[in-house]
Amino acid sequence: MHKRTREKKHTAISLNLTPMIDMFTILVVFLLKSYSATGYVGNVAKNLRLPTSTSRLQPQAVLTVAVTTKYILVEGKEVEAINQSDMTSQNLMLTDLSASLKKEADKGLQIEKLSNGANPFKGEMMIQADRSIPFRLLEKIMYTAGQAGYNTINLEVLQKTS
Amino acid sequence: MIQKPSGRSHIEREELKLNLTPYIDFLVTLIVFLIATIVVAPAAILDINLPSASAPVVTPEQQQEQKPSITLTVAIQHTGFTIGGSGAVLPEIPLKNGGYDYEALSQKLLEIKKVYPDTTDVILLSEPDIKYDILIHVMDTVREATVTENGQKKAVALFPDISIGEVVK
Repeated sequence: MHKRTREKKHTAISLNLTPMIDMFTILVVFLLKSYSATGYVGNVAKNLRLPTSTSRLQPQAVLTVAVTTKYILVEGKEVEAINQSDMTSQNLMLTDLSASLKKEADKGLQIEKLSNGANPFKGEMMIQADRSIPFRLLEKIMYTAGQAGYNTINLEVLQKTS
Repeated sequence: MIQKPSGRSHIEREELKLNLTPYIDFLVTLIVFLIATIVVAPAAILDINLPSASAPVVTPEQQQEQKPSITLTVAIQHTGFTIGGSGAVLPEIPLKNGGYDYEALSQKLLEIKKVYPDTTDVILLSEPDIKYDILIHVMDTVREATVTENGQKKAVALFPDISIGEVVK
């Protein structure tokens, strides 16, 4: 009797895992494929809370300008610190941001030139802004972007889950 | 009676086994990671039009050819919303319980949409220190409205071509 239970235990350990691994592999391949197909991976800076919206338009991989309550970041790099005078002054131009955006626009134009127009510079950008920033700051960023050649501006938001 | 398998053959069988545990661990981790990244980032975008530096030139002939349309403006002020169009200004929609009354704005815009069904553009004006969150909420309200029809909720497009600017006093 004792012998028998031991035998049983032994067979229980050797589980046939092949179908499960097959399934996992297929699932991984599928997920990896859909992962790259979306083209855009939501990469939002820490302590930046995007507003929620009912919009269902899908974001594209374009130049990203992130605006937290303290800094303005272009493609994840801090370019300008936000100070109180920015909020009150009538001057719409943000000099550091402008310089950085001009550099990005030049890069885009260079790519267009080198690829003989296969990758045209469309001047598209996306703003990821914290929900607490004032309208004045957004206006300034949009003005500065427009001056640097970025005329198609999208605002990134989080989809509202209804 | 079943004979006990000899010790030698048992060892041989043991050698043939492949240890798949690390591989399965890796797959499970990868799947969890991929699913988490896909589900957690439901980002979307809002399209906006930059206010052009020069006003579009419309000749009187063109104006006559156009169907009835208006240049609709929605101003966000500290005291509430103001809807204006072609010179006329509707009474202000005041704050309700200390917050903006988005429902009343939605109702008013639906009425306007019924009169001017071909108009799709709107100019959104804002005071300089209005919070971005409020602006996005107003943009949502202006873009589409939710109406209840036969007990079913339906989204109706209102004025999706939004330009934004600052309130001029």
